[in-house]
Amino acid sequence: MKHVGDEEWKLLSDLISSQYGLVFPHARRGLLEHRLQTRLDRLHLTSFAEYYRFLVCHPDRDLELRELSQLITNNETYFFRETHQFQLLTKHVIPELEPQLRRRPLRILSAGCSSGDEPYSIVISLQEAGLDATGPGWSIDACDLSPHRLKQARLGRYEPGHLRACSEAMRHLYFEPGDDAAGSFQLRSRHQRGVHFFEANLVAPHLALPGAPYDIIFCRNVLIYFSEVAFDAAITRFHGALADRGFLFLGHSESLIGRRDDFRPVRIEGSILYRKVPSGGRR
Amino acid sequence: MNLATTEAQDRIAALESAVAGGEPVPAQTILSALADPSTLVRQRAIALAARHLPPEALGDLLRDDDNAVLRNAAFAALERQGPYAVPYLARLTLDGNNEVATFAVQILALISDAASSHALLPLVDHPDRNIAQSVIEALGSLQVAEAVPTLIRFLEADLWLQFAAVSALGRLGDPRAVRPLLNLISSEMLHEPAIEALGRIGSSEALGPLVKLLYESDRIPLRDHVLRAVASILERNLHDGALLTRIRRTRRSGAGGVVEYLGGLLGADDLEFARAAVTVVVFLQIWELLPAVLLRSADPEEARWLTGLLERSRRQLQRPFLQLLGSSDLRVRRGALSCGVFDGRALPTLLACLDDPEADVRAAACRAIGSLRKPEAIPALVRCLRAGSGAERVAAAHALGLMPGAGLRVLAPDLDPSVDPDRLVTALEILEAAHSSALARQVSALLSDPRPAIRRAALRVAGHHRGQAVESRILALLADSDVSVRTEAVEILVRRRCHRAEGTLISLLSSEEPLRYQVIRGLGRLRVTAAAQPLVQLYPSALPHERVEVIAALNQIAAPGLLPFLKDRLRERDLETRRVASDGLARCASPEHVEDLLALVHDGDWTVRNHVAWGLGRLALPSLREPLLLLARDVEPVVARTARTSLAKLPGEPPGPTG
Repeated sequence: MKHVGDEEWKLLSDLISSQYGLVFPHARRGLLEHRLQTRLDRLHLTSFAEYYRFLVCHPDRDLELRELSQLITNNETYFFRETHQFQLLTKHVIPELEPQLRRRPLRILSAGCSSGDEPYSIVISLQEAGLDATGPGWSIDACDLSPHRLKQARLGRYEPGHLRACSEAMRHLYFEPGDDAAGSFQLRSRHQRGVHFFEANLVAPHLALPGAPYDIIFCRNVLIYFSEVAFDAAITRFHGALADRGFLFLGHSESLIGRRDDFRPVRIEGSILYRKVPSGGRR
Repeated sequence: MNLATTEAQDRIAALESAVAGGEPVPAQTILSALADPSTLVRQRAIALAARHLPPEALGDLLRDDDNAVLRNAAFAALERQGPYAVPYLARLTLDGNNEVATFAVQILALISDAASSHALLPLVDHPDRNIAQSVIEALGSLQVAEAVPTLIRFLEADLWLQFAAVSALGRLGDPRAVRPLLNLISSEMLHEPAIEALGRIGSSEALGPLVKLLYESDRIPLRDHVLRAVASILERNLHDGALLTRIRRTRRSGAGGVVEYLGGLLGADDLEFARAAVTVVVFLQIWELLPAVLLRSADPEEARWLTGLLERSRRQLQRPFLQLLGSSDLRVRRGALSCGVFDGRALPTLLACLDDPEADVRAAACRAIGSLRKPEAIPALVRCLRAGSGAERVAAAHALGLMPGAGLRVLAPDLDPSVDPDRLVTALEILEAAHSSALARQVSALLSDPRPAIRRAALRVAGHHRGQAVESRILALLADSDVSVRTEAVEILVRRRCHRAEGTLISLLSSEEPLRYQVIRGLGRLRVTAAAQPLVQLYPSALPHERVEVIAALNQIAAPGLLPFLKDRLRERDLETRRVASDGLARCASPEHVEDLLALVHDGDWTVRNHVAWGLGRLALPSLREPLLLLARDVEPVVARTARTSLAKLPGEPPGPTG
């Protein structure tokens, strides 16, 4: 396997940061090397410097940047990851929004949804809370950088690892055996209702979020890979896309405390979520 | 909105703009920015201070008791100045202000320049304990081997200096320290750092006492330290079979709840401790925990790490792994097959796994069988290839690609042009992976197949066939009707280092995109001197992305007379053009052209400066010390590192950074 030199590493990691806002700490250099190797082989390139030049100069660079985006993003996702957040959603957040939901559907954005585990977990949670029976339902926009992962999300078919936080009973309730011989699970179609997938780069200068303003945004374990500037840009974008006093769910290692004055941390049952402070209402 | 970040970015822009204004450097502006409330601004100011301010200006700030932010920033900037600041810092270690002297010692330790050791050694017995302690730590960081006896002496000193000495001896990794450190593992105050130091030294002498402690101690913080040390020592002594056997004998099964302790770590999220536990379980042969080890292999990263670890203890592990193939847990069976390291004796058992009820396990069995490279397994793998699930077919194809090429004649029916194209391409990919010359006639016939995807796949196989005849067939495909086949043919000929193709490739410089891009790069990779002039002539009419590759190809060819061409390219505005041209200049400049390199020392692009730093090191002239010292404190750390490596190549320089 080829190794990436210091200069090549900086050129590539700066490019990735400017395109996607992602930072690659030095400790993950081997991982990136390993993942990019297949692209070098496919393009008949002999060094990472050549690959960098391909990405910035070649007429096919846009296509290759899409390939790159799939290689550099983290695939770690599974149904009901950080389960307590789904409990907060149905026990505390939805009841507060209930008066509005009598008139219109609940609007949620799942940003960085990967293969769909998160938006589908939201659907199941809302169904379990009886929301489909009592109101006009929901509309969930789910976006990701990777078209391949969005394709898998639309299919709703998962390897067993995606169900690691699901009990045996949950597996039977929400899934059926996939039609392949590899032991995959197919999410039942009723749990795919109301989810709209689309491709999006959260730090692209122009990003259309069709369902805005949202009542709730989930963006969990995505921003930890962002540079400080990209992190702030994404949060600013979420602020603009949320309804006044809307809710933002982040991953447990992502925090806005002491960092932003336009979101107010709300501590419930030992977990923290963030509430939009309307413009003009900042402390 | 995060106003703090936005305002900080504005202040950084103002700072950059002030510095870009040229000489004289706005020293006061930089110094003020070192105390900026924003970390982002301070970080940029530190880089600029290191680059533009003399060490004396920064040293003065170390005396500022009232402004810790400013003092810390000055500390960081002096560290970034590296070897440029070393003579000044060496003088500063003798400063009358003990606090300043301590800082100077600490910065020298961080710079890790070997030249510092001469200044530090005499200070080890300094009456000020803070200075003495910093010197002891620095001697460890700088890996000053001659300090080992002195440091061992400090193990008898007061506690303050003992801590520093233990840590320094661990960093030095010198086995002379093992016995004195072992004497400290019963010390209530020093056992944890002593154990950590023993782990870093990695000497087998410490393994017995530490394993005993691992089994006997049930105090968690202590046991955690011991575990990491034992794992570290084991990893460095796996070649010593007699030692491992002796250590395993001392193991007392279940003593002190060690099995429960390790089992808990194997299921925990803490990667460092989990991996240490895996190492101990595997090499101390605590087989009852092997299933828990294999459960970790569900994560692909962990599976890769585990395979690497197990590879190092092949002989001892085969039997327990084969036993685990009978586990009722499919994850354990799959893990044993994925991570286990087997030899030929395991083949019958592995073949039986191809009948496992779980497709995942059968696929893992295919891969395990492939790693044995036994031709007798080929028929079973071919059956999986033709009749298995998707995952099995992929695994079987991978395994067959590892087999001896001569045994793959069995794939003849798959090369029939009438079979399903996917099956045909898969068979060709297997032959390619195996570098097989079997079925050469059929492969050659497929070079004329009407489908471009088949011709491309056949080309890749033919690339491994020897002889002029096949080379002529590949050369003929440079005129194929399909551009993807022509492109593949260029790649194959370049990989074969086919010098017969040089003339044709040069003539293809007049071809259309996208083939020309590959041809330009191919001529560079083959270092075709005759292509230099045609490439230079092509440059003005080439497309932008081709131009950059033309320069890169010329750099590789390194034909005489390249320098004026490169200097012209450096006058262009395109960033990537200048970057590749500066790379060429750094590679081909001779001492009489050193001025061309020196003219780029202040270039606005860090990549260009990095090439200059490398090129100056290649020339290694004594007169280049000053420009390299300038580059060694570059605002871009990559450039600074390159310059420091280059500095170490100059005649009369001490060896490079030791850190």
